[in-house]
Amino acid sequence: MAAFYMCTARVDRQQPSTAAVAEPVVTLTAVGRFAGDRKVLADISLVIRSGKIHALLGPNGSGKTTLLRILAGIWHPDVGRIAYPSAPVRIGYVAQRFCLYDELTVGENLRFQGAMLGRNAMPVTRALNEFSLEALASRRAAALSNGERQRLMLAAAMLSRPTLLLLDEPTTALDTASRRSLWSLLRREAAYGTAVVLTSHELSDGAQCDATTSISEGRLVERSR
Amino acid sequence: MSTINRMLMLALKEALQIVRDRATLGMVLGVPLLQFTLFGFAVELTPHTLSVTVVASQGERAARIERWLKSESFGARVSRAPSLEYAQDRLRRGETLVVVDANRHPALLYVDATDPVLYLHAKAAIDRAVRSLAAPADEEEESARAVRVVELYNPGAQTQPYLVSGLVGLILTMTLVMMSALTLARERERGSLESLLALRVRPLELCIGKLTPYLLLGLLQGALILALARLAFEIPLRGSLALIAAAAAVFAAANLSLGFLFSSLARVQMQAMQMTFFFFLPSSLLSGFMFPFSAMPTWAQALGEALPLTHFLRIIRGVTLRNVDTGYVVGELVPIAAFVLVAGFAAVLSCRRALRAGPA
Repeated sequence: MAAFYMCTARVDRQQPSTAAVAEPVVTLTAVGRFAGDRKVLADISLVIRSGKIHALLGPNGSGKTTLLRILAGIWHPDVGRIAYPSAPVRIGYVAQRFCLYDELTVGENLRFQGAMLGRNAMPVTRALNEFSLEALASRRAAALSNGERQRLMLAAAMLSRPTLLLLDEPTTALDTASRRSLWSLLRREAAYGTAVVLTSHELSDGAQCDATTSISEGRLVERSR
Repeated sequence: MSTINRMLMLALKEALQIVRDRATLGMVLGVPLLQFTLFGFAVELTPHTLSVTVVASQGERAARIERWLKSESFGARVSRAPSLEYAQDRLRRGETLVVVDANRHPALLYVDATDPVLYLHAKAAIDRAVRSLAAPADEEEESARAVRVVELYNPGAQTQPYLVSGLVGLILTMTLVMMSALTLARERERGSLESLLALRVRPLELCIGKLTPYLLLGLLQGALILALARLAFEIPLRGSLALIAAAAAVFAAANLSLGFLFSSLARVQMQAMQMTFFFFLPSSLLSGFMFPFSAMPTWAQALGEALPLTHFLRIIRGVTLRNVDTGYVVGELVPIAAFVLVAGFAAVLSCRRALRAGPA
């Protein structure tokens, strides 16, 4: 399989700067969430910083996706507080399963996402170009391979020019070359100052990140770097 | 033996799934109850009384006619009108079934033949009453006996114009509620709701944005059915097409709002479909599509009045067959518009709750 993310140079941002990094982008204070009577997240306090890749590690059902959805604003915490010190924060979100529209083409999916984001969105042609999707622009999403679908979701997430990029299990089902390309992309985004948060159940993914938080049964059990 | 065991296990598994799927269980147990109630208590073919309007300049002659109409053989609910024009206007608006012009001799009876069932009932009552006066004893009865009947709006009291014009409303109800009921449930089931939530979509944006194409589709569908009704069944169009289009737009909005409410309440598309069926059944039975509205008991009529289809059927039949005026259409559109507001408000609130609950 060819390398997954054949991204070209970013032309819409300033050059990477090491000076303006590690500012808090989002802080969670004693956050918890219930599913009915069951506590799925409890007492999570966390700081996500710009320019860093942060991994949320843990086994299946540990609460990683719940936490990521809270960071994305999809779910609200039942207890605790979430704050964005450097607001406004532009969020790019890549779900674990394909969550765009099968009936629409690649170009139509990106145009829809761009229109929903408003005037500040990255032009669709640029997103198509950056993620090597030009040749697939008029193909329906239903006809894409799993790898192409994930590339499309990543392109859609990048349309918002995110300052906080959230990815749910992005390395699952990727081959070695695609993983390498993905990490290369994430490091480049972090170098531009984007705070990147991803979930994974593989410790090897944590080793690639600047910071890791381990979660088990909805509780924070370990934090490193 | 192992095959029997496997079949038994499959049956047990299926039974557990049925018992734990409350929506399906509710459907299996609820639909018979609903059908028994509707067919057993609400639906009747013959009205208990006939609404008759009498026009007579001479008070004594009008009183004699009224006595005859109120007699046991006719059993009518009689009201008086100051002029024939006024009475005929009541007939056109569906407020009365028969107009008796007692100023003519023999008296002229104008009967609204729009609904063949009601017409036949009225005709039978007239014939019965005339027969009861077969041997006139005095001038009063002699006078009452001499009548001539004129069928209006649907000559020959044909079934097709009545049913086919009503089909526009019935089909729009069925398709629009169903299609809009699937919208949000489909997003949730496919996972695309997660992407919409990440885009911070608002309930009102989602409601209006998702339903607008269906509104246009509904109008197109209505136009297609009406065109087919004209071409294939030669259904008349005596009133304004613009009035039908305006009414169809409000009616479509009512059905779409309700469907969207179902969609935001349902977790999966199957549940949304079941809710649609639950709504469709009383809509088709209590709206006057198949059975005369005036023949239903008061409680069933009250329920029927709350249904958008009831009012739309009056509009579509009124415009196509009786050339009713704008005032009549607006009067029937008010309850449909109120339904849009109530269902739309409930749908947006329910959608807000569904969005807070998040993706599956």
